[in-house]
Amino acid sequence: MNNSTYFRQLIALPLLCCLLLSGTLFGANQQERISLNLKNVSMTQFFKEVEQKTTYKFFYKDSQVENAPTVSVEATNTPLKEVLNTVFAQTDLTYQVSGNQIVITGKEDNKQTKEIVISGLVTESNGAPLPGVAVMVPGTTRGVDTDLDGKFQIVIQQGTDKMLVFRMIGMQDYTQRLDNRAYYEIVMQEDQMQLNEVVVTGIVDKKAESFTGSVSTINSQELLRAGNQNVFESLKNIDPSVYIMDNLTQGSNPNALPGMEIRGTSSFPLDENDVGVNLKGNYGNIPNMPLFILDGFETSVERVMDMDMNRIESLTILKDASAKALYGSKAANGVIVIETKKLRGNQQRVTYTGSMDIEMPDLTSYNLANAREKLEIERIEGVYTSDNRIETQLELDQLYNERKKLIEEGLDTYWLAKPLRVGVGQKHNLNIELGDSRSLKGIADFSYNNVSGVMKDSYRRNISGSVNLSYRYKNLVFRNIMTVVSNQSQESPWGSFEAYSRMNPYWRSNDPETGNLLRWAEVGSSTSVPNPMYDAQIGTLYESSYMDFTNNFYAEYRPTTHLKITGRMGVSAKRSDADEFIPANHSTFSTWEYLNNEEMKLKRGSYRLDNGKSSSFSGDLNASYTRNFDKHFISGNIGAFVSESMYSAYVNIAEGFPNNQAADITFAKQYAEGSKPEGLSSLNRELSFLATANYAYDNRFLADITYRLSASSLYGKDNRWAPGWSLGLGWNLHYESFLENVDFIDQLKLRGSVGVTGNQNFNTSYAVGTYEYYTDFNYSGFTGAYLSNLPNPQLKWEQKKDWNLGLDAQVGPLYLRADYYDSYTENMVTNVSVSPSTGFSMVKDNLGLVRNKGFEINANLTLYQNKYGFLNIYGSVSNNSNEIVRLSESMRTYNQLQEQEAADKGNNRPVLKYVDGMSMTAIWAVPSLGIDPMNGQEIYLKKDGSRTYVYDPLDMIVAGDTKPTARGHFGFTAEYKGFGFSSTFRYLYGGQMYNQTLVDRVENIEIDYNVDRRVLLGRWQTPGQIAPFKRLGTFRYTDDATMRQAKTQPTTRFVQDRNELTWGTATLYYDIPSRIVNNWNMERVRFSVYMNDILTLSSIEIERGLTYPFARTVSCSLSITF
Amino acid sequence: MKNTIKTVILALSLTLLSCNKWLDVTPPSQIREEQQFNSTEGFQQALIGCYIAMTDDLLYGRALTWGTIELMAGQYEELANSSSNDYGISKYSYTSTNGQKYVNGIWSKAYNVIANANNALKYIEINKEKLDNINYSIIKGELLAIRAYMHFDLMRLYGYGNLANRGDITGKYAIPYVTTLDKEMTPQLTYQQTLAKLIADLEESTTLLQIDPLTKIHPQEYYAEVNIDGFFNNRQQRLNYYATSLLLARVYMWEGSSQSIGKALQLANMVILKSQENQAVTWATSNSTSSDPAMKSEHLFSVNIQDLYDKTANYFMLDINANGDIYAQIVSNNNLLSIYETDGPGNTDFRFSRQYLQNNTTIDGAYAYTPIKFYGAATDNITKNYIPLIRLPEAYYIAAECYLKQSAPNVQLALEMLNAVRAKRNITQELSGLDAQQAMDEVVKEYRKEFYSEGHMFFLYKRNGVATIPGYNEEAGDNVYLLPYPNTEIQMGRNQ
Repeated sequence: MNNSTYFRQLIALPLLCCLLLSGTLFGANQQERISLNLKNVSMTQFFKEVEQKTTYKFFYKDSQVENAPTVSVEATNTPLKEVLNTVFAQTDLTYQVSGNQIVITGKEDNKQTKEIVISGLVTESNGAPLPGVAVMVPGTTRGVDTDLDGKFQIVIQQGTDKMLVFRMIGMQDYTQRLDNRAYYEIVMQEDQMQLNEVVVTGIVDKKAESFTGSVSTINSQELLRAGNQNVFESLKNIDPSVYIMDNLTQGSNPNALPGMEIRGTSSFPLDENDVGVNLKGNYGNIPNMPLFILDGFETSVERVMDMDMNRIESLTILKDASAKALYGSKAANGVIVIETKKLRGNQQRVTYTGSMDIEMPDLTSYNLANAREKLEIERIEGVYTSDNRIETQLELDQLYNERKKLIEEGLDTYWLAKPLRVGVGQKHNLNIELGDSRSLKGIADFSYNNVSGVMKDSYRRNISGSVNLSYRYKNLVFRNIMTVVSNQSQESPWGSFEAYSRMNPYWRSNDPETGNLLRWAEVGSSTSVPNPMYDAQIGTLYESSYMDFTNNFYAEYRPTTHLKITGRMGVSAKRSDADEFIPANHSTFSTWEYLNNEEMKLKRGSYRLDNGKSSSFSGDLNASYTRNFDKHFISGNIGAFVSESMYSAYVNIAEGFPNNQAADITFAKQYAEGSKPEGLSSLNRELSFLATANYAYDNRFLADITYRLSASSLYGKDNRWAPGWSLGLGWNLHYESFLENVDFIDQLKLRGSVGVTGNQNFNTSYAVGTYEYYTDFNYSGFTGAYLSNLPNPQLKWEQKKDWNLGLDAQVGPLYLRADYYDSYTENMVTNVSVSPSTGFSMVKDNLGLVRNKGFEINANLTLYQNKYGFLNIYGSVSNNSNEIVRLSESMRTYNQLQEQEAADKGNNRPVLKYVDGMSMTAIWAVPSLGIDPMNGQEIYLKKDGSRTYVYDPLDMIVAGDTKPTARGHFGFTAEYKGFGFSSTFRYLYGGQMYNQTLVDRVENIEIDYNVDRRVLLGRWQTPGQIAPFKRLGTFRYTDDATMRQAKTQPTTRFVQDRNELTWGTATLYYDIPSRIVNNWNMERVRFSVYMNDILTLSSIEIERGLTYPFARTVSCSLSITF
Repeated sequence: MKNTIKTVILALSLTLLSCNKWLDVTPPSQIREEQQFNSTEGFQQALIGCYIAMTDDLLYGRALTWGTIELMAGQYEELANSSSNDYGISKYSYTSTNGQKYVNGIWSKAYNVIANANNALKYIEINKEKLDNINYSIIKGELLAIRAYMHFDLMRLYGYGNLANRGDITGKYAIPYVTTLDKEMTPQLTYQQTLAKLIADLEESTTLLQIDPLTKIHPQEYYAEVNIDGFFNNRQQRLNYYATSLLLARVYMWEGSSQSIGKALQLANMVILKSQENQAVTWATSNSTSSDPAMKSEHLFSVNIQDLYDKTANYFMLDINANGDIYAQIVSNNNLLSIYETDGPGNTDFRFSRQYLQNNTTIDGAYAYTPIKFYGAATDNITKNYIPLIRLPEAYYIAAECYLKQSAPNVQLALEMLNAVRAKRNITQELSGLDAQQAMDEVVKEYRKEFYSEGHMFFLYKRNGVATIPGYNEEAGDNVYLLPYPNTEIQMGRNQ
């Protein structure tokens, strides 16, 4: 009933307000007298007469008085009250006097208390009026919203209503104590500190209090407290629900993109055949990777990694169906929403942040033999003994003695250190807040980031600039964010780190006399060993770069206070290229054939050129409606989305370079023999419609519904449209009467959700048949085309159904968030074996069901807090377990191929198998009973319990699971008088791992190269010896005469527990007190030191960082705001 | 109100329709089927694609012509080295690891060709109006013939032979006759039903192929416009009218009933007469064979193989080590003498002198020989890269066999057929005065002489239920003649 159009004289209100203010004095005189003589006049006539003769004003609705009977009155100097009573007695109406207002009410409205009208204006801190602010009288159901000009009027009960509360998403609540004024000017502050009031979803902002989804919101401070390297390095230490795996191969390579997953594994590893070409750069989709949304638009992992962290305002992880269903068919793996900074106040401000980043190699996991040990291992292994002729034995003796002599003279080259350095990088960011000229405001941002990796000359450089402008015109707001990123990166020309870890320590890197770098580490009679360091000196090049341009435009229109219409349009274009030049003298071309065969000699040197471009366009239109009715809060949104993205990438390889310096593809002799231009392209169009609704009753009972219907050009006509939906319910217990008076419980919210989202992590379309050409063949001069896949027009989108139960609690100083989830991925798009009489062996089909369940608990406890500082401790634990419910039938052919691979005597790696009831990350190996002391052979346990020396892949069991039972982090953050310190530890518990490097460096050794120290002690040598490591034999493949060294096939002997504790980050900062800083004409100065990946303790001794070592980083940063 | 609803529904469906159109896009590096079959070229490419697929090593590029299947018919010396890829299958050990490679490989490759043909056949009906009559008829005719050709050979390999004399297979199911591209399994039919489908396909094909330029029912100018890029040249490398007709004769022979024999005879005689009359093929001579041992002019249908030399080089070589070499395919001197009767009537037969070379391996005290039908691909430009699948003499042999097998055998006419070919091969001595059985033996002998390295013998033995295969000491039954279905097929519920 109460609404802002209550009064007829709405237009005159501003004027009236002034009158009211001045009229208060007169109005106070309750005993005003009046003389009147009226006969059978209308009520309005009567009001006019009274208004003319007194200072009082009447407030009424036309509808109230139009049916009122005519009135008559006769009065001479009678008190007004008496006159009014006489007149009103003739009608159904009553009245109330407040100040100098006489408010007409219906008879039934008559109440004991006095109602008065107050009005006012709500603005932002910069003076702009704020429409749509909820103005509420606490403790009642009454409330209004401000109009388009930020104005409001509300009727209050004088005396009973003591205050008004102003509330709006994105603003801090404002409470106004009511005094005798009738007009209030309210200035609301943007809510910066409490981002958790609002859930940023990238499409519609949701009110946190009434939202039922499971989300983690991380603000810029939290992000920066966990490190300043890049978003993912920080995220590792903040929220364990995002599992960013350590890359044991790529280590801390600044150019390696991280792999990650949210809430478990539900996609298969990429089938290499599906990609076809080995491309450089980030094109295809990576399985299990979440969806990234930057300022409302989809973006790539690479872009996020290359983003300057100072630009980030907030990062939100959408985990359950209720939260991610907004993104429908792409959201199955979770969504990470990133918002960049907006202009805060109306001040002009310049902030500079600079840092120096030091990366130091961490080689603690390596345990290689030194020169003396290596020679001894070789002697024991029989490198220097020959059964043949005495001459050979003499030669071998001589070789041994030569090496021995060198070692005695002190030769022990530490190859591991050769390609490494302490990388010193720097970051600069300049952020200019352009201020506000009432309607136009903006931020310009410029950043430079140079990450110097620990391998010499490896780096990643980003230069980026962005301009964020927003313009307000009446009830329209425009915003445009333009960003340009230029990236240049280089892999170390020193090559793979692996090349150094296998070099024998008795080989030389430099000439002992001149100190010059040697081309050959050892010159032998038949073969010589190239020195990998030499490769770096001759112009080897592994370079890539990209340029990305993105422009996002937003328009917002508010036709009424409750309705908001937003339109967005984003375009982005990216050009990338990569150059790989391997000169003629490179160690790759140092084999016998290249050096001796005339033809091959000319083919030395190779150049690989990659070119790629990608572009995308997306647009959407959303209308949202938010309103309060009494105890009901409703909000709804409908939207339509359209997008198109395409990429193409091409590779050319050329060979034969006359000399080392000719690092340009035009100097090549020819295209590499047997190669042809290769490429890949993709074009995907999408269309979707969204509807969401949110309802809250009395802030206690909450409900969320989302529905999104999407279509993609990737799918066949029959199954193009796929729905995603979610339903969430919540209960704010802390608003219940039984808890309202419990002081220490500030929040206690129970929430649950269920929903279905989709996944489309593959690029080629399998639903329709596609044709390819026989490019290498012609048939009597004619070209042939063939069907490359078995089309499956019934192919559907992969779907994930998530159930989630959660609890948010704030009890005193403790904040707790707990979630339990259970999700089922069905209709997984997999290669399904079909009858070969169809003409194909596989078809992409929807099969299988994979279940992921687990829990996540986050706790944060404020131990101490006062005006000088605070101390917070926090911790988290997360668990995920994965089970293949129904899948193995469809994966039969795949599993058989994997078993075949496991059976290969030359295979040394565990294979992946998918079996019902098992985890997707299970490690499959044959159970081992150890090494037979009599003959050094490994004893395997067969399924039937018998023992055998024969390796049979059918005996494989699940020997472990790479997925840890529990993961999490803990740490603290503290601040005291400007000093801040925080530190975080991460842990993994309960997982296993196949110790690949141990197998490779102890058993599958190449004795000509360096090995692990443990070879000396652990390898079986003599009968009767109890040894952990076996002696290996040789084997031959059929159809092949070459004798090969047998490899240790996957066995439980090398499946080891992996429990790990990493000291992930330590941060120290100091804010110089403002009284000092202000003297320097600065607003704020902060000095910070970050340390990352300081220490890792692990139960498994495995070499970490194979082709690129891990690094510890220290960064010193200075931030100044003018 | 009703109108409003109607308008909304109309607008929505229009939007959705245009959306669907907008969503129908393909990345530039991908050709979707609708796009492929949008033009005549697309159909031509799909047809050529089928032929190229047939040149696979597991099909007519090696296994089913000069390689594996000849070893299975005892045409070459037994393989000595058990590490040879062909060892298992040459010992009829179809379940051995190497044997499996062929059993599975031939099956999948053949059905892949069929799948390609089926998809093209589906679209040729959908987009019929996009093709002119010549392209439509010939392409469709050839596609049907390819589909039949592949199914027929699958049936000959994975099905029972000697059908005419086997009552025990009436209730059995033959290989699936697949006519649609679908991920679901095509159900199997009985032998009779399957053969009926085969015959139907081939009859439709021959009807369509009557427009073939080789039949000369239309003057050359008739094709001038559509043949501007020469697509209808080189008819010998495609399943032309005569090849398809003879293929149908082959199918009838396989079926073997007297009714079928009659049809086969009719077809063979037509091919003999018309193919020569219209100069589709001409006889090779001793001279031409010396530079063209594959006798290209006689090819009714041959496949054009890329780099045949590379494929054959390891198999046909003169400097070999009989025991150690895992590839070499040779024939002993004694064996050749008995086949070509070089001590008797065959001493002038140029098939022996032109199509074999002595190599450096000695067997039973004499140098052995290497067949050079495809070895010659190394040096000569004419025969390079063609492997014949159907050759003119087969028409004569089919006719001869039909005369012998018809209800009233006519040995005289049969011998005339054989003598006609023998004369072309420079054998001066005519066959005469033989009884039907002897004449039949001569037919088999002629097949052997004529089609060395061309993959005919295994099927001939199997068709006639011959119990002794050269080089195999035991009785040849289903254990030899019947290739098992691939495991994957059986796991999915197929019955052989």
